[in-house]
Amino acid sequence: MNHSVPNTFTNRFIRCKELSVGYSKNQQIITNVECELYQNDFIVLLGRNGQGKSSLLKTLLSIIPPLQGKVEHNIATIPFQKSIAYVPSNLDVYGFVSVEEYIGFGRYQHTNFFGTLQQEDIRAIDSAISTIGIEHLRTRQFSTLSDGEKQKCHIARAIAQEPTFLILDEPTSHLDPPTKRNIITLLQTIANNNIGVLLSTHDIHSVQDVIKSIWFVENKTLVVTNEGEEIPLQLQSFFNESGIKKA
Amino acid sequence: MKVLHTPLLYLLGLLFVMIVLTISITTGTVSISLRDLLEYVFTNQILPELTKTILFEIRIPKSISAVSAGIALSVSGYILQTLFRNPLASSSSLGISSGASLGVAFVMIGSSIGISTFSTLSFLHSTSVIGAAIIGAFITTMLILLLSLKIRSMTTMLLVGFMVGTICTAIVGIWQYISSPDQLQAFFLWSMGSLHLANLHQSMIFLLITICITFVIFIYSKQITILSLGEEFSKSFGINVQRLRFLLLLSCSILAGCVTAFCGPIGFVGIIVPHIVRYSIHTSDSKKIIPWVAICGASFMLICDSITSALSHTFPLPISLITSIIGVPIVLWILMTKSFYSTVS
Repeated sequence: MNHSVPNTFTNRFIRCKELSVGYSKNQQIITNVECELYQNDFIVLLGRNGQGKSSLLKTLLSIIPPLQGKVEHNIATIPFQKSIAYVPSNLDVYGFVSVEEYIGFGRYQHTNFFGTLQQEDIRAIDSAISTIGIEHLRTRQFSTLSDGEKQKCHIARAIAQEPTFLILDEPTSHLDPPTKRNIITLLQTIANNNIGVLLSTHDIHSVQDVIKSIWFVENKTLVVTNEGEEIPLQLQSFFNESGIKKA
Repeated sequence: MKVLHTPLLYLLGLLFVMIVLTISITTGTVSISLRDLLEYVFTNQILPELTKTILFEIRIPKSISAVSAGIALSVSGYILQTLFRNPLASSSSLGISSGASLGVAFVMIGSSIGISTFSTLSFLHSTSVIGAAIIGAFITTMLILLLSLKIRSMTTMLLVGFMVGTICTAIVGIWQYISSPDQLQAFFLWSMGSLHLANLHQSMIFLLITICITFVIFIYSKQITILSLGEEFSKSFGINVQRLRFLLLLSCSILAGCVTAFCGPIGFVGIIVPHIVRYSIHTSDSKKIIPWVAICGASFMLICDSITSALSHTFPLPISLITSIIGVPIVLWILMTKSFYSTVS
């Protein structure tokens, strides 16, 4: 992967060093994780069920504290979560929230003490809504949406945050095939605009054409395969079992 | 329903609170005319001694207690429902009122003089009951907060509160089993709740604490809004969920403890009012919801109190009976007509 960028621009990164992911010392899910995510990366996190993909993402976001090692970053914003937008795999909202309001939550980090939306916040919300194409859902109540529509709202909310990094946990699992393609293309565009995108997915068929770098989790280890590198054996067999031919 | 613009809504709400407050002060076994009251307030006209006594020793403390209890129960109910993401959570689900009951039960055992039926009522008004309830609530609160530091999931927290409440109720039950009928009656009357327990000073303290705590909660309204998305997700926003949770639990515990201390274990209002609020104001923004919850809570308690005073001729009926009889049909109506559960889930 080429990380050469203009000098005027600080390339932000999130880096894992000797990281152990898990919920308790004697139940480590992934050990000795060494990986890094740069701005303008587009990384797909693959792995079988229960291998710890979501837990790894949550550790990167400091939702779960690391068991060993640490997550480093050179993000300048305080808190650093301001620069990382997260799309969880399933999220239900308690109480009455309209779609517009929900997407407005993405502006949480940018608004003042009482969360009053300013002109630029409203602009960010509007543009996120039109980017995902959910104008028709705007005034709908969040909890009455279908799973797929909710997923679109999650992504729109993450985009409204205007982050440096976008971490998505199975963002396409409930989407219809055309929307899946659109979202993947959109995420690629986002990555090309200097935003680091990391998404976990089981839907290799939709991403196989655009795939560059792969993080693959199996047997408590994370295998990083960058663009142009040879695909390791375990990932090869994962692809074969999934019915995918990948050179 | 047409949703009103919020400042107008608050203004109308406050006006309504003033109206029901006046009704609550003027109605009762001895009715005080509105004209007398207004003349007294604005022209400092001297009132008859009896009216003055009724006003300052019964009516005003009662109405202040009603306002405070209404605000405290509703705000803590709303916060706990958001925190636990469960529409059934209220201050009673933390087990704090049960802890306060245990404190009162202990005092009643402790008082070596057998309580006769005559002194039952005077016993209920004594400061020792309020003191015992505060101590009981405080110990339970500390226990729950201590446990909350160890607990990760909110659902577990809800269960822990329920367990603590259950064990307190069980101990009270043992005491009730062995106590005399007089003690039993005194405790039973206390446990039904009353707005007549606190005197003017105590009710002012109650109001002051309630307003302060509500204000503290209001300051955190931005984080509370995000908390409705769940704890894990709030963490991804960089919110210190552990600290926020501790603070909110502490605030709600103080509110619940005060209500139990000054009015007895009345808790159901905390479930009714947030439902009415969610129906009448369509937003998830806590900074808009919290003031509205306070206004609705105060009005609801005052209405119930006015009805209680209007119905009873000798001694006012326990307030918790009226809150349930008035509140339950309203909530049922909302649930049935507005397919409400789609807004809760």
